[in-house]
Amino acid sequence: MSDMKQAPLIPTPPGFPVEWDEPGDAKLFWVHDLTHYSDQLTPYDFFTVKDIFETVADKVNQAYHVPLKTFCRHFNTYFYSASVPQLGPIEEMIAQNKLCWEKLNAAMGNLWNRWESEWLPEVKEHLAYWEACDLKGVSVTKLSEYLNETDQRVRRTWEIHLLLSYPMVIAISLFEEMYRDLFGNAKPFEAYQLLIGFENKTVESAKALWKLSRQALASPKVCKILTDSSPSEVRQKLSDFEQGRAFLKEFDSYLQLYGKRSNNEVLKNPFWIEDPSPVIKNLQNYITQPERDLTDELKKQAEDRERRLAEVREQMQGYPKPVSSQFNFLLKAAQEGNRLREEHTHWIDFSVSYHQRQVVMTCGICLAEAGVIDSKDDVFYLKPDEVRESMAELPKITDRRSVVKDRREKEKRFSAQPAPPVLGTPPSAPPPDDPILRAFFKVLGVPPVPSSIPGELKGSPGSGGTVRGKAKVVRSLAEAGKLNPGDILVAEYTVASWTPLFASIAAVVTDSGGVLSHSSVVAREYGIPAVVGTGMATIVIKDGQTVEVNGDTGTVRVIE
Amino acid sequence: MNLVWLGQPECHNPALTGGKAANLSRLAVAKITKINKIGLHSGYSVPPGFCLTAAAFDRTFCADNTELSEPVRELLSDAYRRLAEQCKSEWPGVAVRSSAADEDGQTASFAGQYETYLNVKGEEAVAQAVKQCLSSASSERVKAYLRQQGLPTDQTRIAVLVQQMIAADVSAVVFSVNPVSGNSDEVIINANWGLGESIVGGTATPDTYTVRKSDLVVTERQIARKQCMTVPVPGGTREVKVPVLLSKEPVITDIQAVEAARLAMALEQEMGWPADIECAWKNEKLYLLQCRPVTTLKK
Repeated sequence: MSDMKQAPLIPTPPGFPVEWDEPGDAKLFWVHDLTHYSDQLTPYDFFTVKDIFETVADKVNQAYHVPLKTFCRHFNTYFYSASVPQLGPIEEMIAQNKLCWEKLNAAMGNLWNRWESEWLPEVKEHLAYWEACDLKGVSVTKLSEYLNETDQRVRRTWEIHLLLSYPMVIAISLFEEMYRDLFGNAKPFEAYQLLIGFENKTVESAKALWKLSRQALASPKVCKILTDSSPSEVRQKLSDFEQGRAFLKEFDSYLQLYGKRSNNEVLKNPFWIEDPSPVIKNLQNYITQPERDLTDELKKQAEDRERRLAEVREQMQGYPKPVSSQFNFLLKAAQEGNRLREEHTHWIDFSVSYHQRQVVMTCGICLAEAGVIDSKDDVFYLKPDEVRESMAELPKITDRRSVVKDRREKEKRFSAQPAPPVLGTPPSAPPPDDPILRAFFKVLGVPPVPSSIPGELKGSPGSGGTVRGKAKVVRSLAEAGKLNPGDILVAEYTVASWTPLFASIAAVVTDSGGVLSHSSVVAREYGIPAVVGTGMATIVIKDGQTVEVNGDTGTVRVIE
Repeated sequence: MNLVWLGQPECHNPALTGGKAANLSRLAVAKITKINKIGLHSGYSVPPGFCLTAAAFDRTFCADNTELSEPVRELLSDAYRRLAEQCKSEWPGVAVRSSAADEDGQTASFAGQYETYLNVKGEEAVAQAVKQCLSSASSERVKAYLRQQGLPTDQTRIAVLVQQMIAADVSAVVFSVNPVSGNSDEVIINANWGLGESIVGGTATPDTYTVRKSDLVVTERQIARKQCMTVPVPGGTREVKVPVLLSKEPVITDIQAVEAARLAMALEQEMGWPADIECAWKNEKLYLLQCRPVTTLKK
């Protein structure tokens, strides 16, 4: 390695000067994580994520013997990470790799069972702790205690998150690869058809919302309010009459169950239960749609899956036993992984983050009242350590208002500045072609290859089929209102809270992600084409253009 | 005698059934008594099958020489149904191979010179495969081989062997001597997942195991990165990639390597010449599929 020539530093745009925090940082290859955190992050969000990706992930990497170390940096308010393989003597690496596979195999073979019997009960226990925290009128001492306890519990739940993510992602990836190896003439996505049609929290919440839309349709008055009012007025208007109040009650119980979600999984933004506008927008969309039976659709999907599986098993009858045993092993693990993908997001990414936000926000109220900061939302512009210190010092006050002001200004300054996809020094060699690394790339996506055909955009195939429609560039869920049934959703990326949109769109195109990212998975569940990881769809495609999406080849063509 | 079964004395006659079928026929009923010390107790597990003999060759085709004659078709259908009963399966997959009188001789192996049809199912498909096997006997490729080996090209009358196909978990080609060094104290085993075609055809790099005969110790294991394997699929076989997690795994254990070595040693004693065998494991049982002399040894 040492005799290899060091590649030169990647140049940065003039508006994006980079100061290297640590010696050696300039020599690392920094990737802007478009899949998880493409938006700017506040300091509170960044340091929460950094702690998870650096400290917690380290622990999990050790548990699985994955020789990888991740570093996180907050360059000009954007989130960057660098993963560095921990290379050692070759014999040691081989021994590590063997242990790694042993651990992963054991974890893949017991994924759902471990989730149900061990991980989920523990996550629920943490959630119960937060449910029991009385944040109204809490004393400063008690709140500080809650905050410290919350940090510990968040760290532990994210440890569970990472512990389950590795075998989950790798099982799905290995299964898909095995399927293609065994059936050389397989169509793209055929393997994924064998993984869908199971109940999960995402499907469950979509069904509940659909049911709610049918309840709204039953009352012309409720329906009219939903159609004609802006989301902020809906609640007020509904509470004026009997049927409206009855509907609100149903609406609130939906929010209680599924409203601990947000649009982009960061602490700074309100969750649905706090601001249900995204839910109301989804309802407005749903009530315009014709009758359908989501339970029946899921059942049909499951029947299709079983039919396909029977065909596959027939094909495999004469295959060597070790091959069919491994196929069965990976099929089970991948089916469980696919279910778990939706489940864990509901319980950890959303529910845990929701409660964490409530505790931090309450600290914000407390610090704002004391005058440490101006408003409760300023708390997210402090680092977790600063919040802890300020809370501990109360009633003594350290004025943090100017720090917050600087950080808010910095955020504003860089908000219009697109973050370069990569920084630092490119690696001197491509990453080794390893099944584990390949699995991660399927989630994160690979850099797109520019198309040589004018008007054509190249990405990765995410879900099969070809369709034409009007493109709508949707940068956040708040903009989802402009989608009409049959439109093509063009987004930077999508997360679980976007899932209800998939019921009415004709196709999805994203800037980031791979064949295992949220957009691809959900598109396949809904049977619509998806092209993901184009790198620039939201920049190149304009609202209202007619585009053709080919989910089998991974191309998008602008027609007019 | 147009159709004989493996194990029948008539089937042992290479002039009638060809070298391949005759060897297998003999081994199908051979008792391994004198070599009990090697560790095989009963007989060899040769999958059941029958042979359309070379004597039938002249009467096999219709006058126009393109279709099988009706009596031959009936003969084949009856035999296939009987084989189905033996295999306890309605449509057993069979392997249809040529067995030439001059094939599997001690000087030229003929390996791969004649067509082989695998996983053939049903009476009609068997008849078609037999027909194609016979046609291939007169192909230019075979004639060229015969000329090169200094054998006459004008009398290639062949028999066709129809045998239950073993949907193998692992297949192996075993030499009872080291064919490269000539070391007669070594058994060399090439093994891969699935059917033996990927080893015989050379499309995959198989694992290589060396067993020392004198003390039955596995002295060397070369675990290859196995890229592909042959598997039976409806209508025939297919070459597919080996799933990544199995490609670098050893396909057999040391116990299985010794089991194969014992088989090769028993066959060497039985036949009286260094043996080149094809065998396969299915559900942990080892089947003998072919046995011929090693042809490349320096005299």
